[in-house]
Amino acid sequence: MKKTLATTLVCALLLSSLTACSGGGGSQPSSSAAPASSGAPASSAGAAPSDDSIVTAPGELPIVKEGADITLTIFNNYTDRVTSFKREDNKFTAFLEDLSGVKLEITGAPQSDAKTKMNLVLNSGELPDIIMGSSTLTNTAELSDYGAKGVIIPLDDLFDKYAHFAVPYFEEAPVARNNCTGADGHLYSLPDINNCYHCIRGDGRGWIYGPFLEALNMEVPDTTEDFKNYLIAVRDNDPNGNGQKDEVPIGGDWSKGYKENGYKQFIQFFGNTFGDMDSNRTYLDESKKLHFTPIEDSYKEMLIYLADLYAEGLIAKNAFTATKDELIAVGETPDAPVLAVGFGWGPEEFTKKSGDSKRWYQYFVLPPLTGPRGTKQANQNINAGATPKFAITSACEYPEVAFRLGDLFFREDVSYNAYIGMEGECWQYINDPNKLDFNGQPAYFEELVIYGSQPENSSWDQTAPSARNEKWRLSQYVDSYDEVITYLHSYGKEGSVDRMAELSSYNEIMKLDESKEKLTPYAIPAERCVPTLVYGEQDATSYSDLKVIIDDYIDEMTARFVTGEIDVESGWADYVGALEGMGVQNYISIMQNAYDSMYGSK
Amino acid sequence: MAALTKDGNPIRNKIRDPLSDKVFFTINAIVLGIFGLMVLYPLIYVVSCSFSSGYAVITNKVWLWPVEPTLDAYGAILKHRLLMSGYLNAFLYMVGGTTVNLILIVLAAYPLSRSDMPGRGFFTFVFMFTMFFNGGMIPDYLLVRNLRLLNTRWALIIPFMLSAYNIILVRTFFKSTIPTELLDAAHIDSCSDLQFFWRIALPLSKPILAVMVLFCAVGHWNGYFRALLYLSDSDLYPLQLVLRDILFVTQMPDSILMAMGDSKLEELSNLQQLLKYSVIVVASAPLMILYPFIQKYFVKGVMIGSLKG
Repeated sequence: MKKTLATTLVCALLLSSLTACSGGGGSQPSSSAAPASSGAPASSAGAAPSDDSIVTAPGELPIVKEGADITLTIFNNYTDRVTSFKREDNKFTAFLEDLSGVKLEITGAPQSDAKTKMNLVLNSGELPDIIMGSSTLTNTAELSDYGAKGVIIPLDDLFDKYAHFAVPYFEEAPVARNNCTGADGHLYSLPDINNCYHCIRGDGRGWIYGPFLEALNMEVPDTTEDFKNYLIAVRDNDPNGNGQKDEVPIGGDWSKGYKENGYKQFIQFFGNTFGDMDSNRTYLDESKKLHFTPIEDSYKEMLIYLADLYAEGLIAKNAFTATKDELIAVGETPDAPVLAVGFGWGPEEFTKKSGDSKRWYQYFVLPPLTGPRGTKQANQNINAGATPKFAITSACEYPEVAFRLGDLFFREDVSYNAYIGMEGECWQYINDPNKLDFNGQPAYFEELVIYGSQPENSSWDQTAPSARNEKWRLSQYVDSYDEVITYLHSYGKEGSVDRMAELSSYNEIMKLDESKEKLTPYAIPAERCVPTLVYGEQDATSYSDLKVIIDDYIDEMTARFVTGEIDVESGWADYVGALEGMGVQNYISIMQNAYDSMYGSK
Repeated sequence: MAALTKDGNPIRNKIRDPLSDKVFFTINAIVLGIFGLMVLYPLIYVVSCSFSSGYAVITNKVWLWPVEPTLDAYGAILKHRLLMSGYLNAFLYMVGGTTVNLILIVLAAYPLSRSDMPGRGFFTFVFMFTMFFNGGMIPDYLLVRNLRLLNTRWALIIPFMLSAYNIILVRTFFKSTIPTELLDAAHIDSCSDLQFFWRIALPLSKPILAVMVLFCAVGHWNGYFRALLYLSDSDLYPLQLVLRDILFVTQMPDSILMAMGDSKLEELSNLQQLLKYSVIVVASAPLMILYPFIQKYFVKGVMIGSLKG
């Protein structure tokens, strides 16, 4: 009897804890408006019968007609500036809901593992209407993958019918569309357009140390011959004046990091001096045929030139083996400066920006050199500046409403509110002729807080599409414009390093203006660059396998050719032969096929 | 009989250790001392690093004591809105989860340890089966969703509240430590099973209960994956999830990093190195404080005075 008593008590305990669940569940996310249709992915635009009467005309606000009560569910990720998307906590959510007239229910995921959570949600059969976020669908390959599976819908028709604010941005820069296009050529997402005005010119930048030019009384080198003579002068004539021949004409490092290693930038710079080479080491000719530069003659000429420089001791002996720290140590030698030319995104690749020597402020962009072709050419990366951040799933009952919501992010103020915070609090339009922007014109807007320190939950912090294109970003107020420009244009002769070090705007103005003056006029034509390519499932694996093997081999051989370990003339045939054997023609044809299928008909 | 001196005080005869023993003790002390240092040094290093400046950490200037002491990292962590709620939530999940775990595990293990329990073999088989076969992440998620536990605090307590491995551990303990003679003796004194369990078996199993508390508490405290899967509201996030996000700051996608500007980036990357250490300190401090209180249950003898002869 005691046993039965005990048994009944235990059962009662378990049962009571089960009933507590359904009562105890406080805030549950109510499932999307259409739970039943979530299982069946539809491949055509608009899963449910689209009710045209709900949506207002493109560009009109609110986006739904009076009396329509629609809730859209969104999957997004939190960031360190956004810890809640709820209307009560987040100002931008309230703003967007009021502006659009649509209720939003946003499920957040931690930024670090947003992809895991997203995969789980997508595979569990309960799809949200919209997927947004900075750590969710981060690249076109994933987008294309989900599109092929039917999880997200193509947006082409919706764009033609309902896009309004987004249209001028898409027309201006093809990259906005390209980076959101799947392997089948359809548009699957709306982009976050963020052109940091010099980013597209950041691949393959060379930097030259101003004081050495002054000390040697030489002009900035114009041709490859001039460059070699300049380097010889650096090597022999002791520009740092300490009596020793300790100068390093060209320094380099072999390390991988966020901004790519110096070696890659170094080759990128010279690749365009002798031929064409975009950021992926490819280029398109007039007939839209894709070429791979490392097997072409221009690359061979470049290698001959560089090997000659190396043999003369004009490239540091450890340029292909040093680590980033060692290179920075060379740039920051405590007694006297030694590094004359470096390559990288910025001088911070080989000096310390906040270092005591302040040499960071004395490096200026090296304009492209005139090579044997007789022209100057600098690289530009046409595929930077747009990231997919807004996709509509097949479970969405009102894809037109969802699309118009996404389109709304391209209105200037909505876009910047989403980025940094509400107008009036974190940024504002200005009309002051004394406040200049990056072009030296009266600025259009200014930021009231520094990005990264804006108040929490005042925005959606780059998890949404935006329209921060070059024109917009250049019209931002920046202080002490004139001073910096004078300093830059005189290669540091007019103006003081200490003064520049005080200005927080120096970095952006420098990179922008230097790129604008010295690189933009000579940029490789956009038609010759290969746009973003996305590969279908089988091709993707072969492509990535081949890329790893081929890239490694080319990097190794380039180092060996330049250091003189293998003679370029005699070793070239073997090098190309080896690449053929590895399947480089297959590699090229995969890229060509992807290009044709994505852009061929356009 | 102690020897006495002439005025009646006992002569203290010191028992001299033989030389071999002395040598042994010295070597013992040295070896243990080295081991102790090997364990202690990393702890000191981590704490020192967390109080140093980011720059010192990156350039490897810290080796024992804090260099350029700053509270930057702690400041960054404390400023984080979700930190306090993360701590509270973690405590909640830990206490609630461990209690539930403990009750259920002991209630399951004790009957299984008794040889006279009907259906013992069957139940053991059922529990062991779940140890080997698991539906996987997505069926688990679907189950939790269907139970409507998603995005609630219960989602971290109720699913997986019974671990078959722990049941077996406790069952073995009961079997091997509570002798049947004890049970017989109790029965003679007309003690029922329930009374025996509550008054005799349970107090005697303090060591295994302590072990279970430790396992379950640590598991709940460190758990972040289930919180990631089942919770969407950031107010419900436990500490580990919050800390992981703090650490993630410089692994963000390039597009965001590019917008930040280089100076903030450098600051951030210095901070991130530092954050790693302070995050460790912040996350493990409570448990390290808790442990000494439980330790005595491990050390104290088990069956002292229970069974004579």
